[in-house]
Amino acid sequence: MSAFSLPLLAKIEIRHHHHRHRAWNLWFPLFVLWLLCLPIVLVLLPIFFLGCLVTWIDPFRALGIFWEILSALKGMHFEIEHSGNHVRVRLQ
Amino acid sequence: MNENRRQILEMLSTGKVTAEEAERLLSAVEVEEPASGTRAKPKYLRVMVEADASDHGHGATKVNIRVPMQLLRAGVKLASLIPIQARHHLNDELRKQGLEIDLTQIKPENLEELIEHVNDLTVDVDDAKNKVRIFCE
Repeated sequence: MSAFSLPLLAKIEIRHHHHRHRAWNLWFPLFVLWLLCLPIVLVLLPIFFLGCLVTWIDPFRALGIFWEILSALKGMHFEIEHSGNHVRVRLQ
Repeated sequence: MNENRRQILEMLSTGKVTAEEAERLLSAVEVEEPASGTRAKPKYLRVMVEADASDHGHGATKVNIRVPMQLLRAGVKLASLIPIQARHHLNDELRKQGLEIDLTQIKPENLEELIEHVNDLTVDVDDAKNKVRIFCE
């Protein structure tokens, strides 16, 4: 079941080319974002079901796939370095 | 500690590899270790791009992305939700762009087969200034 749990934390590391040895480490709590999104999702759910009904898509299957996509973001890692500036984001 | 790990850590201590390269090598070893008899499935797709833009007055640009395979699986499942008529339209548009891809044939069960074989795949594009590397780990 752990494979299908949402990412709870985003670790962001920013390094400026003037301060190569000093990095800004930000820990962004994604679970707060999910909690904030929850009421919006609940409000939009009837519209989503209606849309699925019109397009003949199984809404429960679609919801499952959306959940799977969000869960699969766990372990995502991207890193960009340009002209000595460096940004790294890890989702955990 | 096994021999592979020791070698990687020695390479790191002597400065032959960077900490990031060592991390990548260690994770590759971790993937291989349980698969002494059977082959382990790749867990991530790694895309590494190095571009030298010094001609344009910028320094080098490096991009390193690790995408979980689970995300690719979920993406294919999402594509399977696209109504069949829309998929035919997409196929036509892709064909106009010169891409002979039949989206109706991309199914989750086909993806599993693809992922099993993609383990051996490494794409290396290397020219004078740009370098692209795609592999599974």
